[in-house]
Amino acid sequence: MPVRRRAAKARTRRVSDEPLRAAGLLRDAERHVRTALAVGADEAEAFVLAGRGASLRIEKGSLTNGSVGEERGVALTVEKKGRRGFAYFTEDADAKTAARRALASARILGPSPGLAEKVALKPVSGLFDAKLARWSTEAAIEAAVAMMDAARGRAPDAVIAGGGLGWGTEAYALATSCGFKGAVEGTSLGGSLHLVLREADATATGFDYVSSRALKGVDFAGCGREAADLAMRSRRPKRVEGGPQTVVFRPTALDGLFEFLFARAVLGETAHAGQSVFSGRLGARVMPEAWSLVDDPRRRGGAMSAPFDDEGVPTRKVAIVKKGLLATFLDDRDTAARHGAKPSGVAVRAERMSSDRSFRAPPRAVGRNVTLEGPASDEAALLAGIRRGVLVHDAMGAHTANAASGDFAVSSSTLFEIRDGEVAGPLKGAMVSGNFPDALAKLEAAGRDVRPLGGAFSPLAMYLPSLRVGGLRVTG
Amino acid sequence: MVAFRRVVEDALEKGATYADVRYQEDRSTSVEVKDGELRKAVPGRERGASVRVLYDGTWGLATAPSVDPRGLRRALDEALGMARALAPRVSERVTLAPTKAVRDVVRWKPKKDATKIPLEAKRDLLLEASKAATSVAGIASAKLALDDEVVTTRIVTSEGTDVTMEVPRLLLQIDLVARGDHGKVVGYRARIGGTKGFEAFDAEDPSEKAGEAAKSALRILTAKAAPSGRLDVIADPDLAGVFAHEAIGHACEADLVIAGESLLEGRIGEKLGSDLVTIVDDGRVKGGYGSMPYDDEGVKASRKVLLENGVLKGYILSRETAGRLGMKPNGGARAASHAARPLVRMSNTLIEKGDRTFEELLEGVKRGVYAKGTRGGQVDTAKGTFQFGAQEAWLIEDGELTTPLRDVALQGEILETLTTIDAVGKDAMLASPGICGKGQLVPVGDGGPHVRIRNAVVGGGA
Repeated sequence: MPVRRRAAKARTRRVSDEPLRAAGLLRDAERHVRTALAVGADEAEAFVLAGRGASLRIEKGSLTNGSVGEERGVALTVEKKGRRGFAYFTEDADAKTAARRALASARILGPSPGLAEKVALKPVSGLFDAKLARWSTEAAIEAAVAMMDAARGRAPDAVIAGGGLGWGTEAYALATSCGFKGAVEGTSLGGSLHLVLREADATATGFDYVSSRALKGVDFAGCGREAADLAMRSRRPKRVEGGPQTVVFRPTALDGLFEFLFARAVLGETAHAGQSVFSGRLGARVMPEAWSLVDDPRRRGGAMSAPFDDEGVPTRKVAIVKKGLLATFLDDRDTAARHGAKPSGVAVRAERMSSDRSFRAPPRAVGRNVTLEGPASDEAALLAGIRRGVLVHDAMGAHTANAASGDFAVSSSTLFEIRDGEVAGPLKGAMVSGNFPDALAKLEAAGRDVRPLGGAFSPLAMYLPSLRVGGLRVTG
Repeated sequence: MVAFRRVVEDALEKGATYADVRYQEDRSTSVEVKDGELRKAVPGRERGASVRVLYDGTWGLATAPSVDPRGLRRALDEALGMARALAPRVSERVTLAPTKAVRDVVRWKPKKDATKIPLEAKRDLLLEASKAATSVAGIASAKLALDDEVVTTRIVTSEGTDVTMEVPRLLLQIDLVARGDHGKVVGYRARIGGTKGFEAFDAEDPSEKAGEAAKSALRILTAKAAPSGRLDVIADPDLAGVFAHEAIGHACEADLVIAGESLLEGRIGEKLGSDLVTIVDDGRVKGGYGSMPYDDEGVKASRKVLLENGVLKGYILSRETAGRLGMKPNGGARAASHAARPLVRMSNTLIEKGDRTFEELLEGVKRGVYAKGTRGGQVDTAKGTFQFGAQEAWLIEDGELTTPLRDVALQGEILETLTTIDAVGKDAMLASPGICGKGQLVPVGDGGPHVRIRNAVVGGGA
């Protein structure tokens, strides 16, 4: 895959002046439940997903094209004689056929862990922004232009190679014949800019992005300036000195590592079964005592926040690592039932390798808003005492690491030398390798610069600051 | 489906200079077995369409809320609205490179249509393969996922093209976890797939594949960490394919070239690599996972020579990028779904075979690494750096494979690596299935022979 530019997420779809009306989706879900019962299901569940969004592309310094779109689909789950089956469809006319096919799949599938029952749901704030839901294409065009103008102001010789904006509304409703009813509607906005600065000796690049559920406070020009400044700072790199070094990862270099080597490693499916580096380590120290890693699906305005998860489990904040000790694994209904655990309320419906919510896949524990909690240092304190190290802005290839062992070797092309507690000049591409659980255990400091991050191959959100880790291998 | 033609005619009447409608219907089944038990069996059906217009040299695309005349008309109006709003801000107008209008219906009929095979038979096949893996001592877990689909696409353009194509696709992914002493675990992945039906399993038996994967997983479990630093590397056909895909294929995508994001911009005709290296992107490989009769603009898929004997020959092109570069479209526009905008994408990217045996490649290496199987890769096409991970590896000492190694990752600079390939095997393998992410996920194939790269940067895990 090409290096990711954090472009406007496909999660955001079309905006329209009419609201999506989550209540309408809930009525549809209830209707599909009735259809499934009518064709012979003992119990049934329908998950109706609808998204509307728009996106604008930036290529070579100009807006180039725009898309508007909407998507709608239904995931059906049926129970028959204690077993569960699945099917999905997009056209109402296919509902009955889908229900029959779901019953056919229930004939061969294993026992059902049960469907969601009636429960009182506590709302989560900051998910829907009426202003963003009504944001016009014209206003978005102005925002994209502001982003580009700001970048040009700082780096006039750079090419604005790519970027864009995407915004929209996503709504979904879940209903079961066991009495569960829930609907969520949320807005989201993503934007990014990527600059290339070609010079005689080397090419420098810079990128930045914005990600929010609301329009207020989004600094489009700031995103352009940051991308430009990073490109300017990255000019004239020198070769890195190899060997073990202290590495400070910027949040933008951490998303892949946390997605593939932490969030996946604490999923009950593998962790309970002795198939993860964290297996058998519940209660053990995995990080210094000062820090906790939590999954907070109730985070205000969190990208993956919701009052209930995609299989109707009410959400709660879950401490995965509590004061340095591994406290729990993340389970969906199915893995919880298999391993005698409680569902964590962090299930999402998503296809393999996709970072979008989908009606095509049954729910599974993925994680929601993985967040680091603990002491935060300002920039000077974060770098203090590092005699020789590297500051890593981006990291390619975390998805090629061995997720089962936690061993990784990522390649960075935007990195800087740290000398005697200060950021020195830019460095040429280097590889940083180590073992991720070891790196977590050796966490030395965390910054205050928390940024929202998104999974590349799963719909996981992460809120992480810069992290300082000693003793990683750097190869030039 | 007169409605489609009507919509593109309406688009022209409303001021568009070009319009197309892309309709897609996808019938799929997804079945998964984990640790000897069926965990998932999901049949599904999905339909949708989008309308794309070129208005005042500016693209607008909208998905239809429903595939009927009303839904299509609404999509047309929205696509036009988007293009009109954007047009004043677009600095370069789009001119499509001309293509001949095509009217064609192509249905690739698999020998054994997977969509007609009952769920029970798919379950049994996966259970048997799962057993072949888990019966090997040390294999802690086996997950086998089988996805099959038949995608029917129809593309109708305002220039008279009307193409319908039906393509079957199948992918079996085997993920194994091996557990050794002190709770140490490693993972291993294997895949079988293509634009095929169940006949894919006649050529490659899932149980045999799972059994071999199990042996590989155990080997990695006891393997040593790879050395770090500059070493000679022999890449197996899978990894050679990933190199072709990541290092050359992406940099030859004309949209990245035009955007200034590729180091191969403006270098056609230049000698960039060793005489031994020829790389093609071929959308017509029979059964290749990335094969297609036509691209998503209705342009016939073709064999595109990217690099020939080290000389850069061409890019992968859509009609828009071909228009901008003054080249001929070569069928490189693909969209992940009916709702997605066609982007410049690869199909099956292959290194052409050379004339050396594997033994000859080994003989020339005093100390190096033989890297086999892929965990995927990533590339920064602007800077020209790439990274990819191998599944398993061996140390090469004095031309002999010696110690097994684990978690080998390779990093390199595209241009440097092209010149340091000094031997190419004669054992080219047909494309193996992969999934490429460039904002949208599309199925691709990679492949090639064994390739020897001198002095590559190797990084191992801890």
